[in-house]
Parts: sequence; structure tokens; C-alpha cells
Amino acid sequence: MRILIIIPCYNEEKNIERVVNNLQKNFPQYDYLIVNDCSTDTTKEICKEKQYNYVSLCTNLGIGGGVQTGYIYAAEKGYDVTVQVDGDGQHDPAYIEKLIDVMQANEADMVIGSRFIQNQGFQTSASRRLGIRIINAVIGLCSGVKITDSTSGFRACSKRMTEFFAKNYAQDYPEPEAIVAATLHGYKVMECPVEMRAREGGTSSINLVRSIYYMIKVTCAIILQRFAR
Amino acid sequence: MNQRLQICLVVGIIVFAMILVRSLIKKKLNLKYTLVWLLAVVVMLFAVIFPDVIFSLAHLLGIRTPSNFTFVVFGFFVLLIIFTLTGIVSRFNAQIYRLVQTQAIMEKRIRDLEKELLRGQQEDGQSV
Repeated sequence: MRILIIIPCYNEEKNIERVVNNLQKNFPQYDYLIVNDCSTDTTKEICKEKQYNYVSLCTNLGIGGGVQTGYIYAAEKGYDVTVQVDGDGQHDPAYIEKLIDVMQANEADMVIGSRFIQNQGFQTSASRRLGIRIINAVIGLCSGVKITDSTSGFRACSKRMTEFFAKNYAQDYPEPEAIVAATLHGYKVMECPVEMRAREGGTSSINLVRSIYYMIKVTCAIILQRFAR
Repeated sequence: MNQRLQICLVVGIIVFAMILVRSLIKKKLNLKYTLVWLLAVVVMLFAVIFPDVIFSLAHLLGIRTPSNFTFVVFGFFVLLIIFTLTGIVSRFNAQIYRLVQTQAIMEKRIRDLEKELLRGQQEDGQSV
């Protein structure tokens, strides 16, 4: 079984080396692809110098466009499973095996790593958790699927799910929307408990104004998704 | 309608139409996206030159003065044009996404091929 790990990166010069070295050293059975979303720091130079496996976008498309590039690549190369892992080192690749096991055991198309099932590891701020709860509820209302960590970017996708995402993937804040799109198109979405770490270097790209904008936009997007045909 | 207003509007619209046509001839504007503007010009001219028709239409809708009706029509066209533009921008957005993604994957392919080529040359060099 061929497995591709997609690592979307935007200004992750402080983290990328650690993330990739860990993969190369401890998980050589997985292929990986870094998607550099037109970082303004030296992420690209690091990738080039260290001869990492990477693609580099020539303008900033945002997380959705970046991740989708990975899915297009995976679909072209015919990978059996694609796993999305954040470029900031929050996701421990040791859990990838677990995600894939859950996927195969349940014949699921997408398995999301959730930090809110066993509530262990890094739990993020209270306000962030509230936001995630609201999005979970909207997703539940619109697609009937029960999700505890809708914004988690740690997820494994089957081959046909990958092919679907290569063709259509939400662009702006895609994680919650992708769940709804997948469910409404008849794909099976599940969760699996994981522990996450706090990011070690760099800063998160989300602040208060953006969070509010995010909530409004995501809610609209999910509801629209519900009525889209 | 006030004669002075009528003349001013006609002059304004004709100047605007000239700018439009000039830009079209110089290929500064794409005809596909300019058609809605041309349509707007025709309707505006008609509305200003034949205010009687407008007057009865306005009366029908319960608008007291024809000039007000003209402004309403203007407003409607502006909305229509902006809406069209939003549609065009959205389509461009989707196209740019595809373009950037395809280009990035292609660039990687070229890089990989170059690497392979280089390795092949080195191996050839060693075997000779």
C-alpha cells in the first residue's frame, strides 16, 4: 500500500526541518510531499537545499489550495492513502498507522484525528474550543455526521476520497467544509482519537478578527454546501 | 424632463460610449465583458431621448418624475454590471487556483527529471 503524507506549509522555516527529519528517520515507509504555499520566509530555500520532496506554489492560495495541490499530486501518482499533516509539528506521525487502521477496519473514506475524544495532549484555548464546538454542531445539523474536532488538519483519505478532493476542495477554510462535502457525496467520514502537541516554533496564522471572520464564513459555507448540488 | 438635464445626460452618455468604443478598438477592454456596458448605454440613451416612454413607464410604476425613473434604471444597470463582475472574478479565481496548482506540480516534475538526468550523466561518466 502506497501512502503519501501531505504537509502544507506557510512560513514554517522554524519547524519544517524537524517535521521532515522525523518522517525520514522514523517513518521511511511513507512518502511525503511538502506543499510550500508561497512562504515569505526561507521555507522554500530549506526544502531546496535539503533536497526534500516538495512543490512550491507561485502565489499564496491559502490552506485549501495548498492541500488540494497535494491531493492532485497524489491522485496523479495513484497513491492508495493520503494523510494530511500540519507543517508546524502539532501532529505526531506515529498516529498515522492508527488512522489508516481505523479507515481500513471500517471501510471509511476519511478518518480525522481528533484531540477531543480522549481529551489528552494539547487541548488549545477555551475560545478556540467553543468555536470548534459550534462548527461541530453546524456540521451535525447539515450533514448528520457526528464530529468532535472539525478543524483538525490531521486526516487520512482513501484513494477515491483523494480523487474527489483533487477535483473539488473548499478553498478558504477547508477542513470543516470538506467533512460536509464528503458526507453529502456519500463518503464515509470517521474520527479516531489522537494527541496533539502545541506548536513549537513560529506563530499560528489565526487571530481574533480572523477567528470571527472564520466562524461566519465557515458557517455560511457549510450551510451552502448543504444545499449545493 | 428638464431640457438642460436631458442635454447634459445625452452628452455624458455619448462621451462614455466613445470611451467604451475607443477602449474596445485599442483592445484595452474585452468585448465579452463589455457587452453589458454597451447595453446599458443603449438603454440610457433611449431613456434620456424619449422621456415620454419613460414617463408612462414611470407612471405605471407609480414614480412621479421620469428623471427619478431614469436614475432607478441607472442604478439597476450598475447593480447588474457589478454582479457580472463578481461572477467574472469568481471564475478567474477558480482558474488561477488550477493554474497555480498545475504549474507547481509541473515545476516539481521538471526538477525531478533534471535530477534524474544529472544522475544518469554521472553514471555514464563513471562507466566510461
